[in-house]
Amino acid sequence: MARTWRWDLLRYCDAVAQRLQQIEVASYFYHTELASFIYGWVPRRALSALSARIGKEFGGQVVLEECPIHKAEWGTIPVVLKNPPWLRSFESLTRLIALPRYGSVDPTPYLAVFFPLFYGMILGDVGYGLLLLIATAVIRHRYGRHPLVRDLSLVFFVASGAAVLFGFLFGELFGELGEHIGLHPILNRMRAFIPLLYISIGIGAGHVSLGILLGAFWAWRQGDWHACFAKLGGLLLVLSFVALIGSLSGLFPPLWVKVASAGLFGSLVMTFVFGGARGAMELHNVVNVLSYLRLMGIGVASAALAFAANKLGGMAGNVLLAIVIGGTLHAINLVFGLLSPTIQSLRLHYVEFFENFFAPGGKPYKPFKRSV
Amino acid sequence: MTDIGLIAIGAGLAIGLAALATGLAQAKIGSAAVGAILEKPESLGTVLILLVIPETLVIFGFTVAILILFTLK
Repeated sequence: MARTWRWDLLRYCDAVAQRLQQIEVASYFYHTELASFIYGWVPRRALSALSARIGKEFGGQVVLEECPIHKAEWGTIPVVLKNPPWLRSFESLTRLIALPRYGSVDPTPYLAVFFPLFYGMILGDVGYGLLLLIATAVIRHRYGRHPLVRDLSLVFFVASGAAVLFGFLFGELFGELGEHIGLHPILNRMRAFIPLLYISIGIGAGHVSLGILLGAFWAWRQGDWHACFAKLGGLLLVLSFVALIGSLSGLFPPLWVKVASAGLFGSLVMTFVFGGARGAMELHNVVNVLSYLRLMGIGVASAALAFAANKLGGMAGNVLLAIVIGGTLHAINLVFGLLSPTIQSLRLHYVEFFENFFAPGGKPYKPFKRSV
Repeated sequence: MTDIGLIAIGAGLAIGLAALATGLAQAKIGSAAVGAILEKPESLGTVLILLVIPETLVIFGFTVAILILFTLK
């Protein structure tokens, strides 16, 4: 039955869908007895091509007029993300949450930098990284026709590369096996907990500050001075908080305690004067900075699992059995190694980073055309 | 009991209780999330965020445990 009817039914379905789209679009068409009028959206970079085409096809009979955009319209304008081709694969990570609203900040370039960085820092293993590099290359080569697979395989290819680089930094190749073949850790994750803790907080403060700056920029572009200054108060809060931690733990000179306390007080005044009750939201940024401790926590856990796999393999006593046991446990780690750093680094973006500037709710731009 | 024993128990409690709390929270969010995704598959991204929010608790527990182990010795 499927063989006889499938193609006919698919064609009918297609025809109905196209007719529906035509009816939807017809609400943008107006005409009187003498003139017709069509209203629609086009990305700015496609405008000159469109006007040249209209001039050629209709020879002056059709006039294209560009309407200015009012701020009140921003919420209804369909959105196209504009990124260079080598960044376009990372748009899939942005779309997973939502399209940014028209005129707001597109987080894709920041995702392209920080997602591989966080992923690499958590996984941080030459062996796992290389295996994932090969796997993503093979998947892209074989199933690359599907657009989502093509995008995600490139994203994970870059992220796995970062994991290899961090693997050299941490001196890990399938756990501590690297040390036996001469890989020297610059920073040993199984011992240097406290330095890693500071590094994670530092990265967190940097990332959250960038988010706040983007948020302040977005508020300024909308002409909302109060929100802009409340955001900057939040920035001062984060920086003073980090300075306070640093000086209390002896990283910075003790004088900084006073500077940081003054900063904390100033930032509280600033957020509440300019932000009012909403200013309380800015205080949340301090908790957000601490959340980056997961870069260290999950990373140590992943290193410890690899360590455990080697230990259990080593206890087997017989070489063949050791390889089977160690290999199986490493394979399980590898699956966790794909899942856990992905979710954690995405979360650091979606929750901690986006909170300060991301404006979701953009409608995707869908040009009217015949679908095949 | 020696001091080291007490320190170890303290560190264990710090991460264990935090993990329990995360588990309790995620169990509720997870069951609601499955229902939400079934009705609106496009809510996956939002639901994922909500699901991972309590994980911060266990990270804090882990950090406190590490601080206990490494600074009290």
